[in-house]
Amino acid sequence: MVVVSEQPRRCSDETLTDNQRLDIRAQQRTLDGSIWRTAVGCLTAGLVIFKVFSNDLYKLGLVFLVYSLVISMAGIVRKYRSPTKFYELDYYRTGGNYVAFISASGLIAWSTILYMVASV
Amino acid sequence: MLNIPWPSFALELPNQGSVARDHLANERTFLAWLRTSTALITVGVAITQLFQIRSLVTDEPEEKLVVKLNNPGNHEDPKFNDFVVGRAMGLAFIVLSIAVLGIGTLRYFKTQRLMTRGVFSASRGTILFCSLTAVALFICLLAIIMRKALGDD
Repeated sequence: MVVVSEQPRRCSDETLTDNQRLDIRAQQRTLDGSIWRTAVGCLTAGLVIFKVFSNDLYKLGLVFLVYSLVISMAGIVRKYRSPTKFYELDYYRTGGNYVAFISASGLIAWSTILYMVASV
Repeated sequence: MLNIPWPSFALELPNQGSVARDHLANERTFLAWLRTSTALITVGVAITQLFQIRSLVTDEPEEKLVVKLNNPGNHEDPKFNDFVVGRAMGLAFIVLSIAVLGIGTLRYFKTQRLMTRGVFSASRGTILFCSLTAVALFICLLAIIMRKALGDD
């Protein structure tokens, strides 16, 4: 006879409440999922420009590669500066500074590309 | 730590209920806007590159083409016009991608502020603007390519 547990083991820490589990998943989706997806997408764009397009456009690819590096570095800093058990803190600090940094460096990168393409 | 009063764009909020989750979701939405922007700028660079391959768009020798590029005006050669229009299309996609990144950033901070008051504003106008602009640009591009493919010269 197969015994089906009423509360399947979903997390190694059984003391967590459902609310805390949701918090952890939301943080992993953002810090481990979304940021890396963005950086990898930018890296791919840079590699495509490097390898598929003509050689005189390599500077454009370089901008993409540098920007993807900036995103991943910001992601690493963001991940290791946010407490693992952030759900136990009284106050939650939003990621506004990281968004402002990534966005500002993105605007600089895209403006550089606009300038380079316009002056080709 | 340095004692410099950096401007802070982050908020310290009481960590109750779904506050942390909501703000993390907001951040993911910003990153999705950033990915859209990256895709658009890649398209822009690709279009610029494709229309730079001179043999695809014009039979002009390079010296004549440079003279024409430096003297924009009425040129009868439809292939040369495609060359110029293609570049303009690439630049338009790049400008659109900058606009998308700007909209995504403004939306993040607006939502961050609104969510502290327990309200949320769904994006409608900005999404309509971005998608209509992108569709219009793609239709223009299709028209240019079809005209070339049908060979009306």
